[in-house]
Amino acid sequence: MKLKIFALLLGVAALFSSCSPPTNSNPTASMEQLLTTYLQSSDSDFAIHYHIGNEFRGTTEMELAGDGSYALASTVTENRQELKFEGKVEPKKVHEIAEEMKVQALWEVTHIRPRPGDGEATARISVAGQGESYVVELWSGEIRKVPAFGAVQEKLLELVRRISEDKILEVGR
Amino acid sequence: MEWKINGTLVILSQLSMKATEQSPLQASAGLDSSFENATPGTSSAPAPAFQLKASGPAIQRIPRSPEATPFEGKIIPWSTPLYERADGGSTRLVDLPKDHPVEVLGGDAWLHCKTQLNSTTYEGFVSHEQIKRETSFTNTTDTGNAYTSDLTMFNETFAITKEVNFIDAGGFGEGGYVRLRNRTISAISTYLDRKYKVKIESPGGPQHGDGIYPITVNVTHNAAAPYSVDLIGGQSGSSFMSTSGGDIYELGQASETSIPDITLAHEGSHMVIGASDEYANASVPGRVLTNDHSLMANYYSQGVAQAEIKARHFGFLVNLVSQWFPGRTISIVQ
Repeated sequence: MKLKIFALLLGVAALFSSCSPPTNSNPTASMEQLLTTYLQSSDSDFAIHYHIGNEFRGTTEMELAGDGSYALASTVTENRQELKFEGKVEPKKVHEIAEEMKVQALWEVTHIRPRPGDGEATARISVAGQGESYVVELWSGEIRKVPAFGAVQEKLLELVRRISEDKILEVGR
Repeated sequence: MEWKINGTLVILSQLSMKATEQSPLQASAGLDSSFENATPGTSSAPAPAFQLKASGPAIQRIPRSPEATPFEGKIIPWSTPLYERADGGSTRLVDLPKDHPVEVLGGDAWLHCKTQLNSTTYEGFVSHEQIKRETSFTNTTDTGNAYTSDLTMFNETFAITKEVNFIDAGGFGEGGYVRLRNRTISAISTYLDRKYKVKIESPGGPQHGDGIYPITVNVTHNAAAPYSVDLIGGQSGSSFMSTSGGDIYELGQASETSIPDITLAHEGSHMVIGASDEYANASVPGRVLTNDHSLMANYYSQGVAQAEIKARHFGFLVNLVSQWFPGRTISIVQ
């Protein structure tokens, strides 16, 4: 399973490297289709990737596979020391998050400003499966003005807090 | 002082350059300064003269006989008369309100001015004590965000000012919004005000106007200001600034319980002097990274107590001041 997670991570990393400039690159209908397929079949060939932060504010990153396997790391902690977690949650949790993505039509999220502000972190949520991956991205200051992204992110942060037993303090802003 | 630019250690006692050149530091650091309403100067134009006093309060006025005219001035008091002739006993053409812009064409003690008020153009004379010289400038950070502030030349200082509309975005306890607003203004002053000076020298021997002038930095709250910052109460988050405004979170970052003064000053340095961040950010690959306890770097790792604004952050003033003192050597000193 770890190998599978890393393979998915590689796919997501490849996607990020092809995103230049960093704007929403999601072909919107495709992300919707991928989510629909996963929600109908609960195919384990599915992963959600979440990343927010920079060196100054700290970073939080979580990879969550369709079967519930996860890898979580964050420096948004009490002493800014990195904490890492690996394990497995019930697959139903992944399903719930994917459902929220679909309810919120996450693929429709776009930047509301032409460039990030000074000090703003980038927040990315991506989904991968069936050899495809799609990402949406906002700058941290935009999140409070884009409720759809905020709602999905909150589902992810609930899981982050649960996995880390509140040792990761990420607030997603 | 020393700092690293692109991995090269640079040691400096001060920022110094000829007034007609672009600061190499400014160029290296990617600082882009431009300004509006500045008087274009030429190397042969006489420098504007103004009295340098060794002590006493700063007097908000331009020289009795300003040179390098024409330039834009602004009215200092709440109201002052524009006279028909250079004589306080002559006909009052109109009363000009505070901060009203006038084009100063020349003069001695009584300045020959041209201005528009209520769609009418007036030309007359105003006492030199009633006019200050001011320009706005815009600095662009390495993220492409542009910030505009005002620079005013006084008798003893160069004053950088910015009016900001601090908006109560909700979530505060009683008095919390005003406290955070006042803390922000105060922190910017603590970290930036009078930390450096502009030094003006004449290569061929002393001239009127040479001297060392403290740089003052002052932010004021004005609900009508075009630049606005949301103050967000009761929440943690990453404060930031941008061309169109900024956010400041009362509780600071997620690992904090209250935004520290140093972060308020850091954000203030973006919006007032257009200083770029100096910590690594994958989204800004060409960024100049520093490790010299800069207020704009990662002071969480370098040390909060040692962090300070650096001379290079005021390097843009060299170009600005050189417009008013062409041919002189302008430098930023501690």
